[in-house]
Amino acid sequence: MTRTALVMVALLGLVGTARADEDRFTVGFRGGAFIRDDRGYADHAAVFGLDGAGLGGGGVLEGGVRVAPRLWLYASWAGFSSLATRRMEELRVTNQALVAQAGVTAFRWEPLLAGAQVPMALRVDVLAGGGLYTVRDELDGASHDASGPGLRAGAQATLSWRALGFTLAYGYHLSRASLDDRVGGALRAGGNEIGAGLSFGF
Amino acid sequence: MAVTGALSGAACGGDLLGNEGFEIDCDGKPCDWKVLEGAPVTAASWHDGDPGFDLSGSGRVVIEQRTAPFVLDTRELVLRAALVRRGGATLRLELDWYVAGAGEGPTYWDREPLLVDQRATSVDDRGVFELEELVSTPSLEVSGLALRVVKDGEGTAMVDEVFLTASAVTP
Repeated sequence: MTRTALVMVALLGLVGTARADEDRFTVGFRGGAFIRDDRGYADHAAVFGLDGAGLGGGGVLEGGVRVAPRLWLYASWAGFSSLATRRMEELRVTNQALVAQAGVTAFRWEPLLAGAQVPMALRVDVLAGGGLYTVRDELDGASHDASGPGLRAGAQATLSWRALGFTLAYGYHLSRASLDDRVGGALRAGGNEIGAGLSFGF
Repeated sequence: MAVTGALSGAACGGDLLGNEGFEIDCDGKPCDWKVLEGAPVTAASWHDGDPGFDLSGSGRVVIEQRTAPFVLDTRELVLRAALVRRGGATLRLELDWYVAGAGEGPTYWDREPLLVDQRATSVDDRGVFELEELVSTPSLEVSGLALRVVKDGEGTAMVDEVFLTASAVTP
């Protein structure tokens, strides 16, 4: 099943056609939120007065190169942080991911206006890949961190005008890198990432 | 503003208790809290950076905080605590209410305050949770309180973030 899906994705990426002036490279930045894969850690923090460890804010820096008509290779760095405060104390949780992905352009639409091409396009890409994940917390000078491999799968839609694009993205990160608290809870480096931002194609 | 009106003469922020999070250290022990029975560990609670009282183990452990004098203009208070209870451990919070005594002495407690009522709250929940219990004082005349956390049995028990505030106030 998985093998069939992979073959289909590969074929889709290779057999499409691309216009000569289609982007070959893309770089972008998205800001957004990361809903962490919480296994009790954030709930425990909230019980002890430190609410909000399960949700981080941050961004993603991403660069891509088109290697076949519809097939892209991407490299990205994502960093998200949250800060929970209680009196004088602060619980800071950060998670980062360095990920390489392959992306397939599943949909591309270029409107015609009065029969002429306008420099506008809507593109939807489906991405999957893997990389290195880290998660770290710090409370009143005591910190823990964990790192390990992980996977990302997601989709993003880019509406572009000439070189400038606006991107909406969703990604699910799966990683077993985990922070354990002292009462049986854990917070993993993975989770759901949503974001929006700008990209430049050339 | 309602807080100031409801509780005055006590700890700041509308809370009757002091050092509610066990963070303030007095010679290696949490200020304002006294161990009456057992040997609890004043160590980390849910996180290494968050101190609390670990009452785990076998046998009875009792810690207490006394606070006085204060003036109340409401009898309804809310007792809040972050608790961990697992295994066979039982937890109870006891509140002894006092009125000022007529004796001599430099402190409220030296002047022989009169115990007017003892009230207790047993903890039924298990796991890691926030206790929130409405408690009422025997009268508006009370001006002293001894709050005890009592642990019996064998199992995991921790306490942190203990607040006693006017019911309208969220710490």
